This record gives sequence, structure tokens and C-alpha cells, in this order.
Amino acid sequence: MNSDLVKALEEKIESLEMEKIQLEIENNRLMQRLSVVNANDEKLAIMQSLAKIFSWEVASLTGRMKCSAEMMEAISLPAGATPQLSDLYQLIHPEDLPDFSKRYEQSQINAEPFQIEHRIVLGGSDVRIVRHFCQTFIANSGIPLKTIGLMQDMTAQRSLEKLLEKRNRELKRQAVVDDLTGLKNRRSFNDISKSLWSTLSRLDSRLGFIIIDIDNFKTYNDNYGHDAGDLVLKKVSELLASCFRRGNDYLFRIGGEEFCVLTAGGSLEEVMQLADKLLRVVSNSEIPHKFNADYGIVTISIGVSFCDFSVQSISLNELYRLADQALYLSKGSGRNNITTS
Amino acid sequence: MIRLPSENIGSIPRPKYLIEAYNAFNAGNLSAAQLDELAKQASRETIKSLEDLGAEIVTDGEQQKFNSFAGYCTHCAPNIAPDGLRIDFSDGHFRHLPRLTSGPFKYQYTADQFLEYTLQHTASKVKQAVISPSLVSLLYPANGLEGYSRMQFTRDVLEQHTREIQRCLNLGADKVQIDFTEARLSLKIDPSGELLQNMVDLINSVLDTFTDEERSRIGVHTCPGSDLDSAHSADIDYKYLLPKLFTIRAGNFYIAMAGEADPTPALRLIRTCLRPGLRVYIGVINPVDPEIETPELVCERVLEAAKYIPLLQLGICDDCGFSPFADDESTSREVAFGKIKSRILGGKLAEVKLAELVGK
Ligand SMILES: [Zn+2]
Repeated sequence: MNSDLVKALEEKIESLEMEKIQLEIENNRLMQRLSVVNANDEKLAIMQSLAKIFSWEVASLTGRMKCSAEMMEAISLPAGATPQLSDLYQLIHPEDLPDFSKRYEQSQINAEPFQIEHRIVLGGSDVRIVRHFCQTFIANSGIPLKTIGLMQDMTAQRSLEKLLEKRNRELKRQAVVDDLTGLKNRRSFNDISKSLWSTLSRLDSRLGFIIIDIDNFKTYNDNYGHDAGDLVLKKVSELLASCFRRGNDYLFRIGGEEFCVLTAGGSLEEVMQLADKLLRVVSNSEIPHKFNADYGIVTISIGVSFCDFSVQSISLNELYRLADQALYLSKGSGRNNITTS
Repeated sequence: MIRLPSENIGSIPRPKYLIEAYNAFNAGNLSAAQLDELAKQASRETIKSLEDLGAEIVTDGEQQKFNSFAGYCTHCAPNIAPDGLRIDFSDGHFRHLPRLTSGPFKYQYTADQFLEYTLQHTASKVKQAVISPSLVSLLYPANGLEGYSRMQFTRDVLEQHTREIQRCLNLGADKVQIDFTEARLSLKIDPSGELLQNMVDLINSVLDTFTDEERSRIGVHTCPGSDLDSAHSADIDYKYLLPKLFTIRAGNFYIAMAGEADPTPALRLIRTCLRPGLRVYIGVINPVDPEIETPELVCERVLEAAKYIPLLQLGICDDCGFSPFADDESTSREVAFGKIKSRILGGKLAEVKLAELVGK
């Protein structure tokens, strides 16, 4: 009894040590990424300062504001105080404030970006005209998350507008692209699937729904480590992407090891051909995975659902559910295969 | 001697007469005062039952929190509609949060009123649950309110919530538990985690107004939100939640665990998040499961948790309230008390086993 306990404790300690090492590796990786981000932030701050740009970000729930150095100076708070939305309001010329706050409140509801020209008062007397860009980000269910804003002194060079546009584009791109694989992400999937569904159903066309899941990916991660796992995700993404020629097919990474393909207009037969191609392109590349029983290589399982709107209308959620159910059957019948609903 | 504090989280199924009364009230056949009277009777019975089971710390089982654990602050309010934010549960049913229709927002009942009543009817230590300000913040309509901005609303909520907690502490609550059941849900609404961060900031802005001693009596409860034997966010992995949750500056955390398919990763994660001085209450009873856990099973769950959490920082609790919504008859009162009894007995069993293990 006692020696069992000692043995169990030793094993415990060993596994904790392993875990600690892994956490340290992960920590290092994150710190590296952070230093890149910080360097970029620094550059941006310098540019903003040169260009006399005031930038801020307000958390919708708490009203707390994060400010660029320029902005901090402009609102001149006592040291240690947390800036609030009210401090921004305070900066705006009293005659222009009603207009601005109205637009701001509206953006909390419709999330539409707006720009407005108004006056600000620096140091209590220095009146300047600024162009103010604002955008609110809203989560599902209409809950606003944050509003970001940039104020540009109108005397600044026109070229700065380009910088802002680029920054905005980059923000938007980041919002729809998965960092690791470069594929469209879940958020993008949510948007595109909805608009595809409504367009195709209106046209009485057809929509194919393919869900793909890498088999035994967790055991891959557990045995080869997360860095190797990430490489597999990238590789599989490339392989899957290589199967697409038509502009009417969309590939997404919708979860950890889960991908989804939407095909617009194609017949069921074409969808099945594509699914088959996807299945084979992964298994043919023979990426070793000795913990994937029966195969020894990385394989995927596929579930397919399909809707011909000229015959019947199936909701998007239902298509998703059917494909997911089919995927589940594929998993249950040995993996590395395709099931259609 | 090892001591494992053991607490219940919240609601205990209302007795049949109270559910009927609540339905009669909603149909306009019973006055609010009559409903109140019956809820008070149920409270007294619940307190007594918990004492009889040997609970060291009692509650009123939320018999007086009408409608739902969140609904007490809006009960009978004139500026509330029933069709707010929709919350979907795993079995396909859904609930709507109330929706504010005009400003200003005013708490109709505050939890300290219930606490005051409980304290009058027991000599035991008493715990009181309050709704989190972040949940209340979800009552503000997505399309805004003329003349009552979200910021004003949030200010009003924070002020009333802070006063509610302060009054509970002043009255002598042994613990005040903030029901943060929407933490996991928030990650469903916003997978980026920004909403969760906002919610955590909101709660911290309240906690920062209290002293260290007071914060050591304040706890935060999180769970996948059970209702009618199903959950709204069990599919959100704890790993996305816990590191942020533990940045809340409360002294106690009540974390649903019995319902987790595999609690080990979450327990491990808790260990890495633990700060000195915190007490973590691990859920050992699953209210969603109709089976009553045996004390032995509870004991097993405690021992598992004890592998990861230092004994001085460990406590046990139920995963959640047993029926957060007043019309919920999916769990009977008898089953709930049976489960609580198992928690208490299982905890005692674990205390003995753990004492043996650590050689004292
Ligand atoms: Zn709960």
C-alpha cells in the first residue's frame, strides 16, 4: 500500500515536471510573439506621434479607455487615473459634442464605422479641427465589445489617410483569416455561409456542405507535441486548398482540427467527387502518424450534406447538423472515409 | 485534522405549492403579497432542511428569487419585457433574459433582503448569492434606449450591485457569492474572449471598492449554466475561461466540475492559476444528473481534486443551483436534498481519507 502510494506520487511528480517544461516552451513562444507585437506597436506609436494622431479604444461594458501617448497628453489626466469615455467627451468642443455622442451611441447599435469632423480643445484653449474615425465591434446577439477611434489633426498630411486605411484593412483581414493556416476562419464561415445560403436558396440552386476532421489529432498532439501538431494543421490546410479550382468553393478552418467546405451550385456528384479528392490528397501525402491506428499516417474523416433548393429547402443549421452527423458516422466506421447524410 | 468547507451554490427546487403559486401569480390569480408569503414559508422550510442535513452554512435555496436566479432584480419591474437575449441550451430548449424597455434601471429586490430574512430564521452561518453585474448588463437592449445610454445603465447597475454586496457583508453574511454563470456563455457569444475580459473588468471594478477582509468573504461561481437538466455552454472548454476567471480579485471561486466529462485538465489548470490565499470550491455534485451521487463517489471526486489543489485552499460545493428557474420541476426537492446530503457525507469521508493519506 505504502510503496504503491510512493510510486504513484513519483509518477505524479514526473508528469508535473513534464508539464512544467511544456508550459515553459509555450511561454517562450508567446513571449517571442509578444515582442514582435510590441515592436509593431512602438512603430505605430511613433508614426502616430509624428502624424499627430490621437488613438483610443473604449471597452463598451466598462467604459474604460486605452489611449495612445498623444491622447493621454491631450486629455491630461492626473497620474494613476484610468481614462474613461467621459474624458474623451470632455475633450470635444461642447458645441460639437451632441453630434459626436449621437453618432457614437448609434455605432454601439449598428456597428457601422463613422467619421466626423469636429473641434477639440487642447489645454483648455487650443481649439483644433480634427477628423475623427470610429468603429464599434459587436459580438453576436448585438452586444457591443469595444469602440476604437482615431483623431487626425486636419493639418497633417493627406498621406496619413492611406496609413489608416491600410491599418483598417489589416484589422479586417485579421478578423476573417486564421493565423496559423491562412484559411478563412470561423467568423468568416459564419458570414459567408449565411450569405451563400440565402443567395443559393433564392436562386433555387444547390449547396454542398463538407465537414472534415483530422483523425486522432489529439493523440498526434499528445505524442508529437503542439509544434508538430501545428505543422500538420498547416500541411493539411495546404493539401486541402490545393484541391480547389473553382471560384465557387470555400474552404474554412472552423475549429481546432476541423475544416469545412461550402460548394455553390455543384451537383451532389461533384460534391462527392470533391470530398473523395480531399480524402485522398491527405492520405496520399502519407504524413506519418503512428498513433492513428490502422493507418499509421495522417488521415481525415468527412461528413457531407447537400441541398438542392429546387427540390426542398434545408436550413443552414440543419445542413450543418446533417454533415456533422455524417462525420460522426465516418468516425464510427473506422475513420478515413466519407459519409453522406 | 483536515477541514473541507462544503457549501451549496444556490437554488433548491421550490416546493410544489410555491411553483403553483408562482404560476397562479403569473396568470393573475394571486397577489404579489400572497406569493411573497408562500416564498417565505418555503425559505423557512429550506433553511430548516439544510440545518437538519448538517450543513454548516445555510441558504434560503433562493425560494424568494422569483422567476430565476437573475430575475429577482427585475421581478415586477414596469420597464422590463420578457424577450431579451436568447440563451440556447444543449437539449434544444431556450430561455430569454429580461429586456430593459426604458431607463432608469432599478433593482426591484436586492439579495440582502432575502439574506436578512434568512438570518432571522437560523443561528447557522449564512451564505447569499447575488447576480453578477455582467449578467445584468445583458439586459440592456441591443438597439439601445432613447435617453438612457448603455454607459448610464452600466453605472446604475454597478452602483446598485456594489451596495447590494456591501449590505450583505454588513448584515453578516459568511459568504457572498457572485453568480457568474455567463462567463462560459460569453465565450460562445464572443469567442475572441473580449466580452469575457470586459465582464471580468466590470466585476473587478466592483471588488476593488472592498477591503481585503471583505474580498475574502466574496466568491465567484462559474458553471455551464444548468437548467431543466441541460446546459448552455458545457461545450466551451474551461481552458479558455479559467486563466481569465482567476484574475477576478475575489477570495473564493466555486467551479462546476462534477459535470465535466474529464475534469483532470481543468483541475490541472486551476492549480496553475491558484494564488495564495484563495479558496477554490470544486463542484462534486452534478445537479443535471438525476442520479443521487453516493458519498463514496463524492469522496472519490474530492480525492481527485486534492491531487491538484492544496488542502488548505480546497473546498467543495454543488456544480450549480438545482433549479435556477422557478418553473423548473426537472429535479425534485427530495433528490436535491439527497445530493446535498451526499456532498456533506462524502466530504466528511474525504476528510478522514485525506488525513490518513497525509499521515495525520
Ligand atoms: Zn451555476
